[in-house]
Amino acid sequence: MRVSTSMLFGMGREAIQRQSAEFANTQLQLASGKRILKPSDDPVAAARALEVSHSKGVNLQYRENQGYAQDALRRVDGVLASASELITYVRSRAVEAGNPTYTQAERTAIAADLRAQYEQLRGLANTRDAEGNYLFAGFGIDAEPFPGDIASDVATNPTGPTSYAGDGGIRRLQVSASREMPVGTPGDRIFGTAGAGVFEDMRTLIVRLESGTYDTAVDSGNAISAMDAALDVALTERASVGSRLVELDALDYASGDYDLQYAETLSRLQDLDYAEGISRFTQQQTLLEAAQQSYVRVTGLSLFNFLR
Amino acid sequence: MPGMLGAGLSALNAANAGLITTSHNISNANTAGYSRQTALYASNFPQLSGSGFFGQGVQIQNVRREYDQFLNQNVLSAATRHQYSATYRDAVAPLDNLLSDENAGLSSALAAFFRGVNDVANNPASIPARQAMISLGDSLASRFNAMDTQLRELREQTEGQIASSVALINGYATRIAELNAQLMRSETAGPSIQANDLRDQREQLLYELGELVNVSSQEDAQGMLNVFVGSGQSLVLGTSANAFKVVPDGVDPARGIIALQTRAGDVTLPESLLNGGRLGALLGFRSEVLDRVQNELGGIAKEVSRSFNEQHRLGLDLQGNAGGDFFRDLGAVSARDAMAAFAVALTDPQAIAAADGSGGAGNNENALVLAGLQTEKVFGGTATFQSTYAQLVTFVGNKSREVQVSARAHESQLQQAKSARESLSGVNLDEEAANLIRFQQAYQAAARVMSLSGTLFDEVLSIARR
Repeated sequence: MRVSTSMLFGMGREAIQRQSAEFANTQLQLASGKRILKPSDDPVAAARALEVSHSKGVNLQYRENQGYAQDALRRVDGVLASASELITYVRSRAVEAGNPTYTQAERTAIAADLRAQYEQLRGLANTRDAEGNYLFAGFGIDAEPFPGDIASDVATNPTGPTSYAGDGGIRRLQVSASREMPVGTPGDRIFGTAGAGVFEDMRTLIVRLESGTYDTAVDSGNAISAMDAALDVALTERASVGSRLVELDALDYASGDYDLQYAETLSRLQDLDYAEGISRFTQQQTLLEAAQQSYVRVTGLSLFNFLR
Repeated sequence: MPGMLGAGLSALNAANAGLITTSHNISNANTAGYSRQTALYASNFPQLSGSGFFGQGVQIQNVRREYDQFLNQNVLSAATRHQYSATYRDAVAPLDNLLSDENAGLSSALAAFFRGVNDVANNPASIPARQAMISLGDSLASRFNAMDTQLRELREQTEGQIASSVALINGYATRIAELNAQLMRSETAGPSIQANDLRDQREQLLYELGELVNVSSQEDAQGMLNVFVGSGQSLVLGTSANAFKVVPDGVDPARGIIALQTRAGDVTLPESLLNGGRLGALLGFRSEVLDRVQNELGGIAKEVSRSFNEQHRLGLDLQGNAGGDFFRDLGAVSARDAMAAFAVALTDPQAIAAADGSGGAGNNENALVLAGLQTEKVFGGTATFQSTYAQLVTFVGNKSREVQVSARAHESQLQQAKSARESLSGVNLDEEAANLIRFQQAYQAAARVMSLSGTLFDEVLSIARR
């Protein structure tokens, strides 16, 4: 075939340009560690990578939500533990007050102790989280669920002590794609409302102890069984919280697993196989050098060089 | 011996013609579209004598250009195809990068916004969390706005390139018509003795025209090159040229459509007829890719706003009031304009309706549903925001890949077609160097013949002197 001079130059130039373009692309891949630099490099893998990294992000969000749920449940659990201890202590005081040899002065002393316990329990029921929100107020977390004080509960309002000011809302958090976990407990469930529950039972006991007509058998008996019932409520709630914490641990483990799987899939889709990349880089370098050298050699040949 | 002097002179002229042609070839070795020329010789009519025919030397018949209609046609159509796919490739490339870019694409902004919604679901009473959700909504809006700006810029650039391509096409058409006229004046001996260089120039103009738009051409008996576009609309007819014109689209005045100005008035050319070259690629990119991307992204913007607002209005805010629109309502905005109009309507963090109908500061029921929209199949129950976006990225990626691959294939086709033409028409400097030596020697030999004929004549004269 006849070869024209401009074709000779043109083909050499094209070859060098093509090699340089591929060389530069490999260089970018090596520098970024990515096989896919833009979707057109591998549209199918790029779309899949977009979906996977979205799923990875959502999974990460669930893990974060699990953290919130765990914090909230741990706080509830802590309060319930203290409340249980307190109720147990009140029960032991009720047993003590059942001693028929006790004088009224001694009963009044027990009552004074119980007044302090009553306020402590109110403190527990009005526990706030780090953001200042009440833990046992249902959805109305910005208002004290158990307002008032012992003096007015016992003296000025003998029939209706501490009443529940919150609502029945139970806060839930999305801890996995299919699980909205309850993390709140309305306070009335644990501490009762006006006329019933542990506050009412303690108030009755205090009023009876201070009345001077304390019946050691009947009143102490009532108080002991009331405290047993209250303890039952608190422990049942604690067990429920505990089982949710266990569930969270399992979920955390599962989402950690998913995260790893998503990361592996992403890496497989996008990342450069360095061994392959480097060997391709070296090969392209050789080819580019060959193209450059042959260009210089071939274009250097001219018959005019010999016409002198 | 007058015959000898005459033959020597004709040989000298012939060698001179060869040297001129060779020099011309050497000078035009790098001229685009140049076809190498060859001087053609024939022996002169011999003189009859009693003892037979005596040769009368050489004559120059013609200067021929090494040209093949078929090879040139191949180059032209390969160039039209290559320019189409290469222009398309370059036009799609910015979109290909834009959509998938971590910082410029929609994906990360959408994900960040829903993180904000989740944070409100986790801490419904927290003003900072609510403020963060609004701020993240703002950054989602600014991402939509920025993408819109970039797409609009891309559209403006495309319109600008369409207009400049049309201007170039008109320029080439006019110059081809001018060359037709010039050829008619120059080729006075008829098309058999061709004005080689003018024809090469005209061929080159046709090639450059073919890079811009798909054309067909026909040379008539007078040697006029007639050029047609589309389904046979004439762009150049003899010595007159029609012009393309960009006219505003009736529906969308910012969109230019192509019309051909003829004596009978403007003829609008459908895009399907202009499907090659640079112009064809730009028109194709505009309607196949740009329109779709802009409309689909706009559709996502509208759907984000619609579905989020719809759910948001079902809830109660921190004050117990019914929720309003979180994003600006885009119901009345077209998909094309939706990205630009996308904005957060709320400014007061308390107005985020995180609670459901029962209210309360700690009520996060509505926020949970809002956060769930991220994975909800809101598009006709089959696709989420994210998967709709991913489909669009795949579409652009596929299209970009497709034109990259065809650009590469068309480039090698063009190279092959050019090589085939070059192998006939191209100048090889080594060959010309050899010719230079050949004609130089022929010239020297002719001069020798003439000087010998002079010497011989002197011999005759010297007889008379004796």
